[in-house]
Parts: sequence; C-alpha cells; structure tokens
Amino acid sequence: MSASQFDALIHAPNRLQICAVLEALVEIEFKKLRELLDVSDSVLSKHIKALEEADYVEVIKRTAGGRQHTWVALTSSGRKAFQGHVKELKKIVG
Amino acid sequence: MGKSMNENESASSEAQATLESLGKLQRDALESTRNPIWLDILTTLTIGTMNWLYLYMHSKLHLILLIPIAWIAFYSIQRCRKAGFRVKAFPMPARFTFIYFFLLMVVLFPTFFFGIKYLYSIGMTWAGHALLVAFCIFLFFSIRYFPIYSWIAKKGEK
Repeated sequence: MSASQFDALIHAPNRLQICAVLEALVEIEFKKLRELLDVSDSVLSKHIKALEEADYVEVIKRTAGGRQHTWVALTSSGRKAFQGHVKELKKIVG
Repeated sequence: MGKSMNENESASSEAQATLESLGKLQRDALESTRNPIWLDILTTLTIGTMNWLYLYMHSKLHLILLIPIAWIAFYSIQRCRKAGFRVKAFPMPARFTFIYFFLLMVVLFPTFFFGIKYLYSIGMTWAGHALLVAFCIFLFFSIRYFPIYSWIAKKGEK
C-alpha cells in the first residue's frame, strides 16, 4: 500500500496523465499513448525520458513485422509514486 | 484568513478536477481495450451452452467448448497487442479483485450452477432453463461491465 505523498516529478499534467494510463494498463505502445494523450511525439518523448530517468517508467523496444515498436510500462516505484500522489490529491479534496 | 480559505477551496477544486480528468483518461484507455460486443456475447453463449449440455443433456461434449473459449481468450489478447495495449487480467485493486472473485466464484456462480442442476433434477425444466438464461445475462454483464468500470468510475469522486 503506497503512502500519501505529493510527487513534484509527476505533478506536471502530461506526466500525471502518462502515469494514469500506464497504471490502468500493463503496457502501451508509444503511438497509442500519443493518440490517447493527444500530444506530439517530441512532447511525449521528453516526458517519458524524464520519467524513465527517475525509474518511474520502463521503455521496451520490440520488433514485430520487421518494424521496431516502442512500448512503455510503469515500474513498481512509478506505480507507488502515482498512487501516493493520487492519495495526496484526494486528501486535498477532503 | 478569508484569503487562506479561498486558497484552500481553490486547491481543493483543482485537485478534484485533476482526479476527475485522470479518472476519465483511465476510463478512455480501458474503453479502447474492451472486446467487441459480439465477442462478449459469444463468450456468454459458449459458457451457457456448456452448462446446458452438462446439466440438462448430461453430455460429455461440453468439454469440446473449451476450444472456442481458449480461442476467445487468445484472440482477445492478440487483438489488444495489435492495438498497442497489454492489459491487466483484473484491472481492479487487489482487495476488490478478492471480493469480486469471492462473490463470483464462491457465492454467485455456484448458486446458479447448483440451482439450475436442482431445478432440472426435480423436473422443473422450464424453471431450470429460465435460471440458465438469467445466469447468461448475469455473466454477460459481469464480463462486459464490472471488472473495468466499477472502481475506475469512483476514483475521481470523493
């Protein structure tokens, strides 16, 4: 069970949204995540890189049909951070 | 004092809006992973037919229907992967999964199963058929709606 804690790294709206989608699923392809969040490739790449550096997400490269596909998954520390952040938001709501 | 209260209210409404938008995003993400309705109907009909063959016809052929069930499971996984998702088998938090499966597996499904069996055994064939249809409807709704939406919908609410 994650403790309620505000996390400055995932507080940015796009990062919070990335974590929310990844928390609901196991893994998602980069292209699909971009469609869901309605952001550009470069914006999504930047946020994923920041989350990856903090070990909140894992980037997986897979080859299918001769093409490389990038998949993104939440790590256990990322899941804890996101759940803690959501708890903190709920606390603020009261 | 008044200013601080306003700040608190503003933070609270901002947090509420964030939670609601996150809940909506998670619902949208899960919605796009959902099986097509015909597949859920096919799953329900296959399981319903299995029960009918076993309980009413006393046929051993019901085990053959495990083949389409395995195909449906395989197709669902492949469909999600092609669409760019890998989904959780049970998207609920652990304690809800436990309660859900306890209710389904220990209480509701056995009640339906033994209820249908009992009705057939005492000769109330039509009542047995009616309970089997009720079981199929219940199964359809639990496959299609419950696992994904019940908890997510409440996530942003407080």
